[in-house]
Amino acid sequence: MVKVRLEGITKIYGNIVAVDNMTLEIRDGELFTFLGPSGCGKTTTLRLIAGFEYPDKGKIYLDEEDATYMKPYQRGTAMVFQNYALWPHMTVFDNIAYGLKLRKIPKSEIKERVKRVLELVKLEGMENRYPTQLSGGQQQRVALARALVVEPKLLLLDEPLSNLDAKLRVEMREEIKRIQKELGITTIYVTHDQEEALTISDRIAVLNKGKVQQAGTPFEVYNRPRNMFVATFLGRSNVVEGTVVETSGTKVKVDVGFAELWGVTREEYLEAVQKETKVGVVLRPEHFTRLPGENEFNELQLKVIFTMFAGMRQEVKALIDDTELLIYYPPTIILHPGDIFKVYIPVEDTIVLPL
Amino acid sequence: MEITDVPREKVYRIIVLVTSAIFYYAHYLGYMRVSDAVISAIFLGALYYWLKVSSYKEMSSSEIYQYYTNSMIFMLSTLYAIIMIPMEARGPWGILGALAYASLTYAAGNFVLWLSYIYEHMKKYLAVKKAERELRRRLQLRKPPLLKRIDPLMISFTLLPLTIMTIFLLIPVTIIIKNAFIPPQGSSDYLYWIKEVFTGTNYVRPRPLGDFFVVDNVGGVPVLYLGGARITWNMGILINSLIVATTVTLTATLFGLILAFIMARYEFPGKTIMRVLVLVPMFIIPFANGIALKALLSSEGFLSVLLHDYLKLLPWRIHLQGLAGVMFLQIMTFTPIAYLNSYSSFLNIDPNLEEQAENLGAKGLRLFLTVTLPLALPGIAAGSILVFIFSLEDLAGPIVFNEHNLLSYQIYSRLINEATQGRVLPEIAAAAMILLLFALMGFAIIRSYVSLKQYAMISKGGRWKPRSRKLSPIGTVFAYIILLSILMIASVPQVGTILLTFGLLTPYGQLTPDTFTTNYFVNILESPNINVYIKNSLLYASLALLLMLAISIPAAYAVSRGRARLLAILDALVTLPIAIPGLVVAVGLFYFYSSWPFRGTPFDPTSINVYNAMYVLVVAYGVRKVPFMARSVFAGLQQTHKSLEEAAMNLGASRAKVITSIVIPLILMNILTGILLGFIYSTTEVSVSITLGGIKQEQAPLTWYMKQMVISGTQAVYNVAALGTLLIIIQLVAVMIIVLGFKQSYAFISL
Ligand SMILES: Nc1ncnc2c1ncn2[C@@H]1O[C@H](COP(=O)(O)OP(=O)(O)O)[C@@H](O)[C@H]1O
Ligand SMILES: [Mg+2]
Repeated sequence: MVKVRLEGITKIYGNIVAVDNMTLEIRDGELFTFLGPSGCGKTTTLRLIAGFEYPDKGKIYLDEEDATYMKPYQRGTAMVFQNYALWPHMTVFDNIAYGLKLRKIPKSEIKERVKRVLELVKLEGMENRYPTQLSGGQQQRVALARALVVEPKLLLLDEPLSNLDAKLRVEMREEIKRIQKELGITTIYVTHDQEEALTISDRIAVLNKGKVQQAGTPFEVYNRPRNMFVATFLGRSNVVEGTVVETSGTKVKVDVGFAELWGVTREEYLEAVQKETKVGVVLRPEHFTRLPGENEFNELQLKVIFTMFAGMRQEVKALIDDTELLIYYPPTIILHPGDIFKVYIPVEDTIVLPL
Repeated sequence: MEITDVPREKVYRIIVLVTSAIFYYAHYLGYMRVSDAVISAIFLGALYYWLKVSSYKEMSSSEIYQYYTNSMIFMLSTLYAIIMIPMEARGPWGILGALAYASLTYAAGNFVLWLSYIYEHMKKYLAVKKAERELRRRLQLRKPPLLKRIDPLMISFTLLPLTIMTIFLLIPVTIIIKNAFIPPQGSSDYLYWIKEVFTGTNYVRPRPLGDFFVVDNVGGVPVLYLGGARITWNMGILINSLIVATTVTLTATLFGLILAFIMARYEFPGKTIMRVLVLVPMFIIPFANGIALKALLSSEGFLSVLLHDYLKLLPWRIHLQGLAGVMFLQIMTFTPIAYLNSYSSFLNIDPNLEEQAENLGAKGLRLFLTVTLPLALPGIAAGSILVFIFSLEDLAGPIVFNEHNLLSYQIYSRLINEATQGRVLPEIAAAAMILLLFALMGFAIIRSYVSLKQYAMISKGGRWKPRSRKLSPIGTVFAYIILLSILMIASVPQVGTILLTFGLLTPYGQLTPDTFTTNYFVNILESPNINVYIKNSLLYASLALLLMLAISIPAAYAVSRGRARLLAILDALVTLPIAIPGLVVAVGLFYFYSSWPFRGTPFDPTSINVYNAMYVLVVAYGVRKVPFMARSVFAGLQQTHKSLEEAAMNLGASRAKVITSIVIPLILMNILTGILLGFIYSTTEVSVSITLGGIKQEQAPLTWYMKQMVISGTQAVYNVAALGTLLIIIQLVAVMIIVLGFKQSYAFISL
């Protein structure tokens, strides 16, 4: 197992900056996710770590060893490719045993280890099939087994589930999480699917345009977004602009036109968020409650425009002054267009960010 | 997308054409010098295109293609102008000249535009590079250390083929170019021989010699001589070559296009059988094909007699002579090349594009002319340019029809005459260089198309189900009439060869169905005399295959996986041999091998004692036929995703291990296809085989022996035919393996 440290990594293609001065630390044994929109540099970063490309600037450390320019085959990483990259001319057994054979492991041990890893990914008895004779989910498992069997120090997964259908995706991600925890292997997981990222990860790095926007636990990046990009990329959110009227520590009072809201900002913005500054206020639809809670809260009165019933909740589009907000309301009390209703949002969930 | 979308386009065009015709007429009346005329032509053209370019922005690929072809027209009309203008043009020639001049003007404009396109392209490229440099400076980036980036295996994969191709292809060709500028003794005019080829009366005749059509009575039977009777029709070596190549290209392309369209786009009963029949003309049987054609279409030939005497369809018997014979033969031989290229382009058109056009109301001929043809045009054009190059360099046709007034024959005959004296005159080098020039002009046009990279894109065809329509019964009848007539014409050589072999047809005589014999065929297999040549050819071809493998696998791998700038050169170098006429290679190798460092080695054709044709032919076959294998291998690599290799590297395999355990097994089929193609092309190679290959008789290959038999007289014809049949059998086996084994029917000879 290994700790990974990226120090100011930059990679350019022509005049495109694919990875922009990225600094990150991935802890020993954790499942770390790169999350971001397509083209934000996730794959490139992963390939830099695997050694298929070299950075134009910066250093990569595996534990404390400088691995920036090591050959791929010297790094002890194992990658699962988006398209699985199973070798079509080899059976499942040969695919999985390939890395072991390279390591000159005795035949009997290879057999034993392949058998064990097939059990781990629940593919017992498939040894002699060819990749084309397997379903997408099974191929995915073989790819995972092929990476795991060499007992890598670092497991790299590039959108491993994106080619599977929705149901299988959920199953497989639980499976990956289970196996990862069982083996305790440091894992970097790349995805553009936020739900996947939030459910599977120990920590997430949200990337955009080659830059780390925020790194933290799923709870942190979701509930305490560091900037507007993270706030809007993850989940759904109402963003309203306003002017700061009062500050007290990280607590900030913002005039957003239709009301004066109390919210919190991050320590790092204490300088930037002063009286009179223009700020954005992020209100997630699920943070609104029908009744006031115990903590401090803001109170809003709105008029329903329309509602959509979504089973476990009611999605309500409502108007306050000229501003439209999206609110998730309990499904038990049906609202109708034109209804006037009240909602409450805790101050700690009212996120104030500099624009 | 179409140029004609530009407003006032037609007006510009007419103005330019009319003005330039007026200019020419002024020149004709003596008011203007040639140089003035040429300069004003270019000026007008440039003006015209400046006007045009200023009225639109984006260029589509079909437009770019148009500029390519137009620059070709430009070259040709320049040539035409050079030839025609100094002549004392009279009467109809004056009008022709004006037309030629007008088209020259028009094409000159296109050429200017083409240059401007290249310029724009370069500018864009440099701008990106500059932006990258600035970015690097701004972000203070450094390229990773050189030593870390270097992959020794990739470097040797680049350098090995690069070196071989440079030594055995580029250097010999360069020597030709150098020697073409050697002035004759006592003169210092470096351009002497080049001018000679462009203006000497041997090369360019003001008026044709003899008549093309001659009707004569031979023993009471009227015979139509095509290509002249006692005096063969002749406009000079250079013009003849161009006339033949142009006629053959246009006709073969038309035939191939029609065949391809029907086969690609229509469903009709019996199509499977037709699929097999279209393979018949594809067998490559140098010399035998000409012998067969002669046996059918001469004054005593079977078809002539049948059509005139029995069916009374023709008022005379037909006899092919000289240039006409060469043209007929080449049309038959090269139609398959045009067919295969057109066929694969039709199959590769995304059906959605056509369906969309249909949705918008385009139908029938309109759909074909506005959507289908433009989309297929690059492929069709590539095929026809290949035909042009192959026609220019063809030797077997001129030898069989004893037509000396062609560039290829001239170079050949003087090379073998002067080679025995140990020195080859610069005039041959000049002629070879001109031949090369024409071929390279063609190559430049298809360059973007036949590049390994492009090829792989094209070969991805079959991703979609190609569009095809069921034919009505009447349509089916028409389709069959067209298909069968073209196929019958194109398979005359193969069918004739087989008939000759088994005694069913006599040379210059009648069909004799009663005298079936396998004697001739058995004879060539058993005669120790002939066996030597068969064995030589098989040996040389097999060794050449090793060389081809050693060049193509590294080259294709490096080109498909590497990123170095040098690789563009390598990519060009391994496709280039397609465009270099075999005779040019032969002449170049003669110069090259007879000087340092090969002087006195078995390579040296002037050191008769130690000379060994094996060395020369193995290398020549290997280098000349490498494009076919390289393309095949490259296509395979293109279809295997890079991540398959990265996965192996990631698990601990070095690049060498990745290549042996992953890459080679995955592209094995493509390698085998390449081997079969390389083998077919090596065993049927003519140019180097009958020149440098024939220096020592006992070392000569099969094609040299066939040539000897052709020029030695009538009886030997059976041997040539029987050897042709042997070649057919060899190729049949190879094609069966490709088609049945690998399901790669379209890979065959197609580019
Ligand atoms: N080999 C390459 N050549 C040129 N540009 C590339 C290459 N690989 C990636 N890029 C560019 O780098 C950026 C990041 O790509 P990538 O890392 O693949 O994004 P992601 O995996 O997040 O979708 C994109 O703009 C992409 O176009
Ligand atoms: Mg990606």
